[in-house]
Amino acid sequence: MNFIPYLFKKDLIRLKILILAWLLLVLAQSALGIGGSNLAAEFLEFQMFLPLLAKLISSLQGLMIIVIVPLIIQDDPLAGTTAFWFTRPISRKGLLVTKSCTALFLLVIPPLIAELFVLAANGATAWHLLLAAPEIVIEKLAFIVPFVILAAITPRFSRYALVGIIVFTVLVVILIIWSVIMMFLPRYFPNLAKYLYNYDLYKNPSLEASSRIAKNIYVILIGSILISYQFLTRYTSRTIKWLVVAFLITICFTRIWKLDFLKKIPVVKSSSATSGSLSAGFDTKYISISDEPRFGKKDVRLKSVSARETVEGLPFGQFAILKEMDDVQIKYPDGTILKSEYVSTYNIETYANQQFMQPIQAVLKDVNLLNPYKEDFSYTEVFSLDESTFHKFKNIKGTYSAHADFDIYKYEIVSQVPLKQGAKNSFGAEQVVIYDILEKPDAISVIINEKKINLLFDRSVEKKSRHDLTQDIYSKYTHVYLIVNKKRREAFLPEAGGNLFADMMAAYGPTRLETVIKRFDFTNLNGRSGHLPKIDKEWIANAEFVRIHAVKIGTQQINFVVENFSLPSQSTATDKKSDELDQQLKMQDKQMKELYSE
Amino acid sequence: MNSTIETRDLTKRFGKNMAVQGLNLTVPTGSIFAFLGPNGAGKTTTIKTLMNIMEPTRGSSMVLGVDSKRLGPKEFTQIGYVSENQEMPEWMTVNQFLNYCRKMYLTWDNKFCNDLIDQFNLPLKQNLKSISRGMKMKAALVSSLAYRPKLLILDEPFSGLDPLVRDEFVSGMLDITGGENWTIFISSHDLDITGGENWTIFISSHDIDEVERLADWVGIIDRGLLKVVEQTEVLQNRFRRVELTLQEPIDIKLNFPEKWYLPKQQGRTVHFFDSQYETGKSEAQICEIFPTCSNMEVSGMSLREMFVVFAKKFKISEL
Repeated sequence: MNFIPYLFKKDLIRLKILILAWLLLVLAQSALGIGGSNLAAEFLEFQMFLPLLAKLISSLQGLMIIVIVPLIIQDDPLAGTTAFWFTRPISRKGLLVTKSCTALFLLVIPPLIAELFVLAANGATAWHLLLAAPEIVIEKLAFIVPFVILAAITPRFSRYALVGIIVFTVLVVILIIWSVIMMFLPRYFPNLAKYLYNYDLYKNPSLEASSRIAKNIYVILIGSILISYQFLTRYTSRTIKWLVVAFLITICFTRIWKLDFLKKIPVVKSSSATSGSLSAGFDTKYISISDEPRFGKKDVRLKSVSARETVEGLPFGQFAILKEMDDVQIKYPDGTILKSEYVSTYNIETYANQQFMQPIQAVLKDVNLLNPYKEDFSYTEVFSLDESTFHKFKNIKGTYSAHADFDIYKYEIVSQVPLKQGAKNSFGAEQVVIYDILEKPDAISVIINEKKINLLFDRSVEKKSRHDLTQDIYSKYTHVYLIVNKKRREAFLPEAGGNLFADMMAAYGPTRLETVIKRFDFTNLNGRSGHLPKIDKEWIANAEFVRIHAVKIGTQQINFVVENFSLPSQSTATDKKSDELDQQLKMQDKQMKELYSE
Repeated sequence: MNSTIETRDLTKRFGKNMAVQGLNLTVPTGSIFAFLGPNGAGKTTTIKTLMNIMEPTRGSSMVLGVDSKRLGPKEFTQIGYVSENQEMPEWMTVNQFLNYCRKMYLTWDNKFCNDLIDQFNLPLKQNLKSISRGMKMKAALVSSLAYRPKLLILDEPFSGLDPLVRDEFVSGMLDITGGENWTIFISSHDLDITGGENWTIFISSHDIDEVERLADWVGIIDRGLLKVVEQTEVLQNRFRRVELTLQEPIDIKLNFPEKWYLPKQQGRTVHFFDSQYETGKSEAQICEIFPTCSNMEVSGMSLREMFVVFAKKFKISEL
């Protein structure tokens, strides 16, 4: 006799109120995913409130799962010796199938459908939906399975909650201890630290994503085996023993995983890659010296030397971004070689730098960029050393050298739509919708809704590191918006630093759907250009809103060599840099005042 | 003799604690078996092992001809199980609960079920969690009888019930099972169900002889060891209380057979319990051992009296 429908019906009747609340949460999240970004664009207040609401709904969903799972499983408990069903004609296999179906039907299918619906409403193609479905299922199951196991090895909710709190506390304590160990280990035992920690995961987001997916699949598979074992045998103590073993393997997963199966399929156009005739150096007029702390070694400060790097010999329209530097040293005439400590090449490069103007002009071809940026603001760390060594060698001339890896890029137009409210364009996994155009004297503001679908299985998209907590609020060089009037052959870049944003991606975490509201101000009045044509109705009528992407076309290893280099006793560009910062802050202040006056 | 339950060297250990030790037990088909013992004696562990709720550490058991480790849905359609500590779906109403159970059994007899509901006055619309313990046990009993199981196992069904409810419960059960050829396995630490003085109270129309006929087999377990397992009738036939009056006091420790339990001397009077009584033969043996016996009184014993003797003899506590 097939008793599964009766058990299923029984669980539905029992949990009807919780299920209703759960479905309402799923619906609320979907509504937010579909209409939230427009609300955020319409009302300033929502820009702060909606992401918080999205986070709250997301957290409540997690909490509901934690509560509903044991109620499903423990209505017919597997642990203990007093369950009603033990002596009734209910097969263990049937119960396993019923409970699995109930959990899937209630906790996985509704959010899956809802999220696919939200993705589709935000411009996802059928292909994206096909890639998103397994990712969502894996993510949901990997979250649910541990709670199913916990519910299967505990006889009632109070025990489940108690064991859950104990396990959680123990894990947090272990994590804290591990973090403290990993904080000090690299200093005292660098090789052991390297062995214990897979630093590749930090460097390579797609490897990190691959290891996460692999770990989740492992959790689901091993978890399913353990759950099935517990359902079919009810050997709780043996299940717990196997669970401990499986958990230890899970911990090792990130350490041992090396297979990057989600790596982006390279789109490098090798034919247009640069030749090897490049040279790199840096402008010795702009060198910045700053103190960096060393934790636990207050007396031995680190001196960080930064400079503006320059790359010569790039073909027209190409630009280079420093990726990695090693073998950094200064060789002095007496034969002394000073080696640098770790050099960080992390830098937020905005398009508002002179080095990107020529590549932008190149992609515009016969359209003139009217308001190019004429200064370079970016500084890169080129050397770091102990304070005492710094004082010993400062102002002594030597030859600076380093091996550097540069990524070579050029810009390509990926989207161009008429500069009109409601115009939208989808390209790859992204979509841009012009939400509004605000006209002002000598300026316009374009408010856009920028959507990006980040799917782990979509190998045409670069993965975003989970450790990268920065949000896309900077005007990065990677994608640049312009307004272009082809008839008049004129183009404007937006003013840097004034982009408003409402980060709606919180609705689904940073992985799948990012919906960001941005505002770009274009003006014919700025401090860096002379008399520019007015951006009036007539100009706008024939204009397009264009987005260009920096497309990687190759990688070059270049030897950095700077002759007659000396560590200056103080920054050579301090005054200039503070002027620039001061100017930027004043501009931001003006824009904030303008915003609130609206 | 066909058996419904049969155990061979059944042993269950929890760490160092031996809950059941080498249990060899046969429960004949159609019998009402009273499985008795004090708290912690191993009764519930034995039943849970028989019901495949626990796995034995050693030995084996057969229930309805199937290895208990293989008991599954098919066998449980023929087994009724009511236990004092069984968790029930308390969020259900009594009606929902019985409907839920009904769907599990092809042999569910609706008319019989309704009769039972009437007999026990079950409040169908109330939630199980809101009714009394007695009512809950009755609901459990109805859900375990309505499909006419071949084997009914009652594990401490009367524990915690007040005497009135207990009477109703047992008399109802007797009425129901009276005409059926069921095997009933009752586990209890409470003597009242099989031989207590209260028995006459909760079964108003029956006297003690009828009660003793109800439990036709008796097993006594203590500290995991089975002390006695025997037909009630045989047990009653072989147990006698003996009181002797001697012409002069003697030392009763001398030449006292082991089958004579708990000897006691008060002056010239000697008391003991003969556990192997045979008419004529036992009297001859008494006269041989006590040649100065001037008077001999041999009387039968109730089940309760026999249990008291067992308790003292085997140092069974709290029986």
